[in-house]
Amino acid sequence: MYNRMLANILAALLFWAVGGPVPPTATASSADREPLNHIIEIYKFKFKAPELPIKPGDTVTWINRDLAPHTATAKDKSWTSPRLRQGEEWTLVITESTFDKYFCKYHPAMKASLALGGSG
Amino acid sequence: MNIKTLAGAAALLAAAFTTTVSAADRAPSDLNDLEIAHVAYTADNIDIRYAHLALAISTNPKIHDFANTMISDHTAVNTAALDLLAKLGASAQDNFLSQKLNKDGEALIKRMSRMSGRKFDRFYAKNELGYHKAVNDLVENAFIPNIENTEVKALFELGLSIFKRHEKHAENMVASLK
Repeated sequence: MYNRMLANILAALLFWAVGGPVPPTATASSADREPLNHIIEIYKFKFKAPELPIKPGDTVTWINRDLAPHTATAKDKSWTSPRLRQGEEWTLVITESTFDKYFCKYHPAMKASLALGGSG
Repeated sequence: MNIKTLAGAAALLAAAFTTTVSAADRAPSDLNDLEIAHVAYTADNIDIRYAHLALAISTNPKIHDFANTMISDHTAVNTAALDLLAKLGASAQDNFLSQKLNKDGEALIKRMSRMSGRKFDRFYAKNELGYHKAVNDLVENAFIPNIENTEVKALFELGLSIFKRHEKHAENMVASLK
């Protein structure tokens, strides 16, 4: 039993030493990356999800590809784009206090979230 | 306004799209592309006028939201239609169906102008549902199969996808006002 535990500990140490999973400190440093601009296309009455997680300091640009005009409007009304006609775009700077759930005020069934902090 | 009267109003409206005018002996499916464009433009404009009336009379935020959506979307579709006609070097052609729609729309606006409060809200919501059902049926089954120009047909298909969402939105509005 004791030998088995010792073997497991040694195996774990060896795993880290040869480049196993990135330690937690490295994960924290990835949060400090350079700010990004995320593009969210609006197409067929849907907000397309951004490819990378959004962090405070980033910017988000919505581009309307639909014929119908849309908005991106915070559910708590703390921020909103103007009416975006086809081909128009609008950019929001993300801060720690940005409310992440939003919708189109012309088409309330269109809902999405910026998923800040991985909240979904 | 009772349910029976409302249903009658919706049926009357739907009839505007489906009736063959015997004097002209023509049906909606007989219209050419430029006449079809005129009907669609007219139908859009009538719904925009209903929406402006709703904004002026109603105090219900749900009615206002819906009316603003109608103004925004129908204006966008009409602008796209005018842009396409300009590109094609063509003009929409007035016809019996556009004239009937305008006449019926005018009468309905006069009627709704005399309403207020909950009575107006319920009538407007139910009318929007009936109107979009009738227009969508017309566009899907009489217009799109008969449009010859591919760009015009594509615009109508796009418009239909928007108007079907309006129909669903109107359904929800009617349900919420019961």
